[in-house]
Amino acid sequence: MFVLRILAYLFGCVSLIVSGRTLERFINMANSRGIHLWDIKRLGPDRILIKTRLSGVKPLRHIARRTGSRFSVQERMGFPFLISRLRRRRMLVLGAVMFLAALYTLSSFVWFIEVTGNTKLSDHKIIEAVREAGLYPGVPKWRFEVARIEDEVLKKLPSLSWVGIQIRGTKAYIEVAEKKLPDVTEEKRPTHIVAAKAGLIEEILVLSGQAVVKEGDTVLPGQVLISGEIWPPDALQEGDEATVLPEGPRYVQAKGIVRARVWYEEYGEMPLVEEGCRFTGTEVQRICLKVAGHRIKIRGPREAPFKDYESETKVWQAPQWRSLPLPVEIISTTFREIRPYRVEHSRERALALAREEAEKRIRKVIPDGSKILNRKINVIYTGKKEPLVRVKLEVETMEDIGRLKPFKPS
Amino acid sequence: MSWRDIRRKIRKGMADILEIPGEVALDLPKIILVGNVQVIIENHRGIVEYTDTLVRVLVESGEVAVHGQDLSLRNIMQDEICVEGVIKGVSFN
Repeated sequence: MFVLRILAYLFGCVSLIVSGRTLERFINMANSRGIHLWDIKRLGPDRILIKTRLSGVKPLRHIARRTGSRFSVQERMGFPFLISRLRRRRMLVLGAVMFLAALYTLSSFVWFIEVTGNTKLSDHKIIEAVREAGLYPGVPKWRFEVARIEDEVLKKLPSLSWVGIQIRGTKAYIEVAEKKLPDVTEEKRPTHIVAAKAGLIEEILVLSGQAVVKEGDTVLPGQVLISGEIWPPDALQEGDEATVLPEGPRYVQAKGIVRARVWYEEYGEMPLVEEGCRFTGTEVQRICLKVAGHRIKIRGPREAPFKDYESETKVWQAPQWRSLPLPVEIISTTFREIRPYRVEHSRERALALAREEAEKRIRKVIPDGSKILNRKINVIYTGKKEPLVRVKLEVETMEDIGRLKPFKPS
Repeated sequence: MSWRDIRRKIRKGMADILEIPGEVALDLPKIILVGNVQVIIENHRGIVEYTDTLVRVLVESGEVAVHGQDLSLRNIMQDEICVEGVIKGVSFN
C-alpha cells in the first residue's frame, strides 16, 4: 500500500471533485477498468472527492461522460507537478543548487585544527609546524597527504616521537606524543643529596660523591647527606711536600641511597554526635538564555525546587565574531538537593572513625614505597568532658630521604 | 433443484474435504475488521451505495453493508475495498 502511494507521488496524482447522480457506478466503472482510486470522501449528496493517478484522468473523463457526471481537479500532487512548478521559479532552483554546491565545497576544506597530547610543546608551535608542512585552516583536503604531513612534522619537531592526524569533517585532530628527554641542563650541574625531612640515618649507600653523615646520625631537613664535592685524599699529612699541589675539589653529581627512620604524627578527631549535610542525589538543571541583559528560561524550574540545596552555575558565551562579542549567553544552573543529617556514634565507633581519619591524613604525607615500621595510636584526653574523641597517630617509617639539590661550585 | 445448485453443493463438499478456504473455492467475501476503524472486504463485486454513514458492497452471495460515521473509502482495487471511519456494524443482506 505504502509503495503504491510512493509510486503515485512519483508519477503524479490529482484529487478530483466528482459531481453526479450515479457516483457508485462511476467508482465501479473506474475500478473495473483498473484505474486505482483512493481516499474517497463524501462531500455532499451528489459530490465526492477522490484521488487518482495522473494517468487515470483521461479514461475517467470517458467514464464521467458515460455516467453523466462531471469532475474538476481540486489539487495536483507529486513529482511532475513539483518540477513544473519549479520550472517557473528558476531562481529558487538555482539557489538550492548553489547552496548544495557551497555546502559541498566548504566541507572539502579544513577549517579547524585541534592539537592534543602535548605537554611541553605549545599548541602554537605544533600548529606552526603543521602549517609549514601544508596543513592550515582553509586548505582544501585534496591539497595535502596526511601521511606526508605527519612525516614532515616529525622531522621538523624532533621532540615529538609520534604525530597522528585525523581529518573528521572540516576539523583536523592532531595528536602528538612527546619524547621523554632527560633534562640536559640538570645533568651537567653538580648536585648534593640533601635530606628531604628530618630523620635518623639507618643506612647509607654512596654510589658517587662523598658521604657527609654516617649511620646513626640525626639529620634535619636540608642537611647535606652526600656531597657532590670530592676533595682529594689528603696527601699533606702523609708528608713529602714536593707532591703538594694546589688541587681543588672535583665536582660530581652525588648518587646514592640514604635510608632513615622518619616519624610522622597526625591528629584525628570525631565528634560523638555527627552533624552535617549530605547530597541526596536528586538534582535539577535549569537552562537560561541571556540575551542583552534579559534572562529567558528555556528549561527547568524558575526557583530552586528544594529547601536545602547547593547550586552550580556554568556560563557558556557565544563565540566572539571578529571583535564584537555576541550578547548571548547560555546559563546552566544545577541545583543539587542536600539534606542535613545527624548520627550518634558510640565511643568505640567514634574512636575507630577518628583513627581512620588520622590514617587518611597520614597516608597523604608518607611517600609511596616507604616501609612502615611502627604505628601507635594515642587517645588524647583534654581533661574536660566533651562529646569528642581525639586521637594522635604516630607512625615510624623507613624511607629514602635523599633529595637532589644542585649547587654552584665555589 | 437446478443444475447450478447441485454444482454449488459439490464445490462446497470438495472445499470441506480438502480444507480449502471458502474465499478461494466459493468466491466468498473475506472481511477483515480492524477494531472499529477499518474494514477490508476482499473478493467484492463493486459498490452499490456509498454515503458517509453507509457503504454497501456487492459480493458473491448478496450484499455487505457497513454502517458507521464519517466513512471514507480508503482504497479501492479490483478485488479489495478498504473502508475507514467509525464503524458501528457490518451486516449481510
